[in-house]
Amino acid sequence: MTFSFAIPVLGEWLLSAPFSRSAALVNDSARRRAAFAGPPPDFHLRAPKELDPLFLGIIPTRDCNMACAYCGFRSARASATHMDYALAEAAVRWLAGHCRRRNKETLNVHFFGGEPLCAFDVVEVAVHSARRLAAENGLVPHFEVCTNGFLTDEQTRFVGDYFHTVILSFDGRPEFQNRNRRLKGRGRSFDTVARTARALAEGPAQLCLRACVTQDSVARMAEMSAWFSREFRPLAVSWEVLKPTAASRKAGLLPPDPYDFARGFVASRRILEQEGIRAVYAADLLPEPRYTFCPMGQDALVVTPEGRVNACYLPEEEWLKSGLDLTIGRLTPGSGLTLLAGARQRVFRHVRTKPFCEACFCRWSCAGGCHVQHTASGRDVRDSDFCIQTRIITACSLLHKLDEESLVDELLADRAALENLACQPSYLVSQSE
Amino acid sequence: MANLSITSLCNRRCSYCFARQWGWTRLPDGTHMAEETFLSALDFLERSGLTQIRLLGGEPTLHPLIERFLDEIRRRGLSALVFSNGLMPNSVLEYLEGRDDGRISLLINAVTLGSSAEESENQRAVLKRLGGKAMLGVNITSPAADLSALLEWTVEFKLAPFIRLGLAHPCHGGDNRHLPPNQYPAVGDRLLEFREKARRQGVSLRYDCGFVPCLFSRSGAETLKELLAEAQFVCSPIPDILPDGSLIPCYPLGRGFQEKKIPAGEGAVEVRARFADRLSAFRGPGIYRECETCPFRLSGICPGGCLAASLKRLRSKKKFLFPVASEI
Amino acid sequence: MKINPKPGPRGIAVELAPRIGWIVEEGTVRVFEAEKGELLKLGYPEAAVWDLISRYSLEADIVPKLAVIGGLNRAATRALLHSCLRGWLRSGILVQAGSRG
Repeated sequence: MTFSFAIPVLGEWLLSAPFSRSAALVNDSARRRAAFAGPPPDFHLRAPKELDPLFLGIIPTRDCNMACAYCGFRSARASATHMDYALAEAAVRWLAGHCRRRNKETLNVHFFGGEPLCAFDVVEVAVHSARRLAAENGLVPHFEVCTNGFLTDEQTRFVGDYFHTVILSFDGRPEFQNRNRRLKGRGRSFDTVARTARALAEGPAQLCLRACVTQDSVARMAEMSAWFSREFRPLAVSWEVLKPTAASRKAGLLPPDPYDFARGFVASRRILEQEGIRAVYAADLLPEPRYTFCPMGQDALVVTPEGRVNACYLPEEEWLKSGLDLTIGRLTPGSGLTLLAGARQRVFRHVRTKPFCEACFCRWSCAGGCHVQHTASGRDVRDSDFCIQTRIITACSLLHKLDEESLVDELLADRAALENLACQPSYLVSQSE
Repeated sequence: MANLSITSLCNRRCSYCFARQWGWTRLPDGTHMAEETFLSALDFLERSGLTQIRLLGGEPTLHPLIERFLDEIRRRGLSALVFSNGLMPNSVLEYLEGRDDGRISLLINAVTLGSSAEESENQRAVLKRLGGKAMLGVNITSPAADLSALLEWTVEFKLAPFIRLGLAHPCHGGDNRHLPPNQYPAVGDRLLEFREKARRQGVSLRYDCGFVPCLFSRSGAETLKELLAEAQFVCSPIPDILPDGSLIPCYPLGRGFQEKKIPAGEGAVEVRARFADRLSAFRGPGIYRECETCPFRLSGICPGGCLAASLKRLRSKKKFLFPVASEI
Repeated sequence: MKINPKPGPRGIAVELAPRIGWIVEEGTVRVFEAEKGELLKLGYPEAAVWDLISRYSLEADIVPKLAVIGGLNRAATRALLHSCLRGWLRSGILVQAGSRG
């Protein structure tokens, strides 16, 4: 059997072959005899001819009713421009036409922000327009929203009734939620957000909690997992690490140590899985290998309030900082979607070109992490906290698949072994040995 | 099938209890079915052609006349299935131990799983004495439910080789703890594993009402085919006869759908048909929005899950005020 | 249909009849009465009308949205809204405000 990667684990080797979805734990002698598996046969840098988005993203507004200390969307000071109703309708109309032409079954619309429900009226128009168009075209409508959960009861009911998946940003216990995720004007958000989470958990929508972990909260990940499952019974909990901003530094919030975060995530996963809840780390191993960390590179289309169509939902100034241009077109009512020549191909190539990732065993799961914030800079990020925690979590996931839980425990208790695992210059199974 | 709820008295307060939830609003706690009502109910069930009498509660073994009731059932050549939590008076346990004609069996609701060690020991002690007269059942309130003890107990105490699985349904108009349908797939994953373990031990699973094929959506095609044969995906009126002789379609729908007394001259078929007719006007939605276009539903394999769970999606509003122009 | 207006410039107010509830489905809204069961199944654009009047009490909050949802001009949208209200009043699903008892 051929393997692509060899990962040192406490004196043994974890061999991984992502494209045959296999792994093995072997000794050094076996590792030396392992044959090398080359790159996947269908890997190329040419975007598919036909546009085929997984979903249509809509940003009804960049405005927000909160001023989270670590916000990477600068939503506290974002423009309060709301998308026109006509543009929202044109967006879903384009998608319905596309689904009909491509014989798709589902009309998939995701809402982002800022806080998308700050433009609640736009969301109402988009949802009802999409439902009408879905009915006319024999499609099944599917709605997803990323929200901060600071909603009125009416808004919560609407979301619960009409949406299929709700990603609710919720940093956990009041001492974290109220400190990290304040309202504009510094008010507390916990009570309202917790109420929203409870109401959504009872209803038809699938609730996923998304929690940002800081240096203060990392030691409480396991305890918070138990609390989340008891109090809110979500379908999944997604753990993210704080990305420092000027505002977060000013607020005294720091990212966690990556080794602590990895330990916290593994402990959290055990508790949540016992409760039938998925624990998610976005860069973790998935059942299938992937070329991109996110929908960017899979023809993601995100329509901004102004009618720009981007490949990413981050604000334009974020990717411009990294020298990227992720605008791929324009949508106008009446004229529909116009793609900029070469834009798709440019995005596709950027997503697949990861020179610093080629020798990493997470290449086909993490796939380089965020294409804007992590691997766009051109800097060698291999020793970054993100890469360290990703390698540890991915290795633990591989060991979990091999039923090696006690080895996971031993590994996580051994800092030197973790550093040895996480800081190798290359993980490629040698072709010459 | 029909159930006789012979008492509202219970020695437990299970968070999901359907029986308590329909409020016992007209019945004070501790209402026992009068003997006359019981005999009338037996007549009703006999003329319905039913030979197995299912006794429920509250906790039916707490009825002061339970032994007399069971004797009457046996005297008529019928059999009894007693739904109990197993925490029964010793005199009743001795009575049950001493009856070996095969006419009395018990479904012991494993309510003490996860509760105090003392309660759990009490229930185990009862199971040990009942042996093959008893089978275990459980009402699942969360995907975290650990069912492994059910198999262990079934084997250890040589119970009947069946385990009855139920989903904790909401009560229409009530607020009992229940399993929301959006957690069904996670429960289904656990059940698929449990089913395999049970099969290896020669134990079969029986599925109460309200299960849906999509609960097992992550099973393979072959397994799903087996499940479609094993588990009847039903939701239909039972009916339940309450301690005061009134009838309801089932506990979850007890509020709002009632007949005041056992009808003379009619059987369960007629009552069931009347309830089914009344309930049919509410059967449009299912437990999910997607039930509207689900192939299992459209083909008649699945009725759309528990009706009480479907009605949980009902929205209403006291104020729905809309000023209109004077001329519309 | 002329309905005797309540005092005030805005005319009569309507509200849900007692024991009326509704369920949102994949592409429709079903309206129920507690005893009688399902009374109505609303497709689009009527389902949008129902949802909007459940939250808003001013035409100005409804008509601009409904016009875009239904692909109608303003006059046709108002006509649609009033036609729905008229029908629901006639069928007893909506009643004059204050008459719920």
